[in-house]
Amino acid sequence: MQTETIAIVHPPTAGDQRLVSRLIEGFGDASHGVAVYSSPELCALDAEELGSTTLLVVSPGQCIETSGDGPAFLSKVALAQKRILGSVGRVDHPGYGSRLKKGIIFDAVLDLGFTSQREGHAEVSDAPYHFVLNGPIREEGPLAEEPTHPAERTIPWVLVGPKSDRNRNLLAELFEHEVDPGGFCLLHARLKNMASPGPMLGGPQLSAVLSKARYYLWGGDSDVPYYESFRFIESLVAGTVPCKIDPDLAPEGLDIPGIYASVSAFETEARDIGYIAMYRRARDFYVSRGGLGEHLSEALHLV
Amino acid sequence: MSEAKILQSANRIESSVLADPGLRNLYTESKAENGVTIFIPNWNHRPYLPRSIRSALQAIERLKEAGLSGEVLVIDDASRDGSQRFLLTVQALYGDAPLRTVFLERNLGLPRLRNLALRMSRYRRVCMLDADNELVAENLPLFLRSAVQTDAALLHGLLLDRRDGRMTGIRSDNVASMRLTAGNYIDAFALVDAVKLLRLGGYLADTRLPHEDWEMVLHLIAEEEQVVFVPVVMGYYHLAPGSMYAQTAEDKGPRPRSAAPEVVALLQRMFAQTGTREWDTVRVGRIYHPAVGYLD
Repeated sequence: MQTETIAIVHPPTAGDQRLVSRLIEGFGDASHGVAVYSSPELCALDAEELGSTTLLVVSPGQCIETSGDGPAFLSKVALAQKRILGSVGRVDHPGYGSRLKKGIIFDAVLDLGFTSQREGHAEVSDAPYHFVLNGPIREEGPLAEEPTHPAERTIPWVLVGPKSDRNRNLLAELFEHEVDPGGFCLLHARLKNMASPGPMLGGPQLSAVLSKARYYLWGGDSDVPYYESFRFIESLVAGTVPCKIDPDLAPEGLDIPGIYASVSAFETEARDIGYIAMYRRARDFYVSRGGLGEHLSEALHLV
Repeated sequence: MSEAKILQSANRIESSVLADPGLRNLYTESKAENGVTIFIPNWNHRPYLPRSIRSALQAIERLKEAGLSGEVLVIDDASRDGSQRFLLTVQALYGDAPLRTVFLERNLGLPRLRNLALRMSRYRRVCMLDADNELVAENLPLFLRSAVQTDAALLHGLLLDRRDGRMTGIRSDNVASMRLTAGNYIDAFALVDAVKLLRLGGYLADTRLPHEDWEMVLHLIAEEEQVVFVPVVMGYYHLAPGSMYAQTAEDKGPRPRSAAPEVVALLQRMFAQTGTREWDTVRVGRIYHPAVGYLD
């Protein structure tokens, strides 16, 4: 069913603002009129306006916390024509189930990513699940067929993320396999008694680093296989080849390029195929499956 | 009056080192900018010297390939384990290598040894490489470029803990913040600016404060000098079986952050009189990479 009005609801500052931006861009590309409200703004809306509106809620827990009046927020959400949870990330993560149990009865879930998690979702919730391929948006422009200025990419690889055992082991493997030791590595710890973690590169800073690098490496953070589409996109847009090294994900046979069971497998491919060909392959995968706007439209028709 | 005398009269340079006329002849007053002195202090570490010296000499080669230069300076602090004999052999075997060895007759202790190296270095930037550790040779040119570009008083990179050939942890992997008043996480294995450190009094040789590297980082922060973190691996921190740090790592995790309570109390008396600030996320250090610039 085609909905009349779509409104994205999000926390003012916290929550997944990256997903919010991506949804706004995707709907814009599909020429869908979309309203955007922060959670306090939703509380201030007239009830009448909501009767013909489908709300796409991102980070519902933080929306409630930041709304200024949790019960009022929930009652306004309940007045909407339909309620959809906008989600990105693993459905086996406790946070996912928690988002679905915040007092909002969702009519559907839109899950942005590269692979469907329908089965995993069914173990957590009865809400109808719709997978949305996180394809290109118009703002990214036509991605270059060849990486620009490869000689200026003096950072051989980038490893950025939490200081987890898996990331430490990945770093160890890189050095044990004598991969170029000049890589950029920033692993941050979450510190005791502190609300915010240690140094974490923000979007522009990470993009600046990636724009001087050849390979962006990351490992899995769970035994449940999952592919992080946003990592792929931020890497490719910066001209860096996305490479996930994950022994749990590699046997899944996904058609996403750049998934390796080990550092050794990555190293072999980087040596045999090389940066430019690996970039081209990742780029072709990304641009060949239709844009995000198109996929969002299809999913909304099903809701 | 010379700079050294002025500083000495201001009680900012250790008099015991300056007073030794034999050592004074070894000082280099004017330091070159385009290279690194890799300093290896040694006290009874003969079994580990081949590894550290080999990595240092390889790093000098990488510097030369990058159009830079360097030297290796090993000062033996009156060892009793035959280190001197080994070092003389190395010196004879590698006669052409930029390797200087100095043998002290009486033990000075690590802080004074570090200060002596700062005085002796031909180059302004000194890499503090403890005798049981190992440099990642390929990365030293990048660290030198970073030090020159940032004008940092102290510049550190990641260190990988190694035990029995396997990596067991990471250290020196976070930017300097006021959490340093509660515990140290920046190792002495770093690149320092000899001119700046000497101007600020050098490493503190005080038996009440055995952690001269921790005190130095806090001192640099207090003096508003730049402490810069480059997120690239600088070297390996080897945890030898039976060593103090190895045991600490085994008991409490990979990072020996806790010093004796009286040491912590004294450092807090010096640098955090209004209380520790481990809660304080304000960074006093900066993150830098020469391909990108500052990242904060």
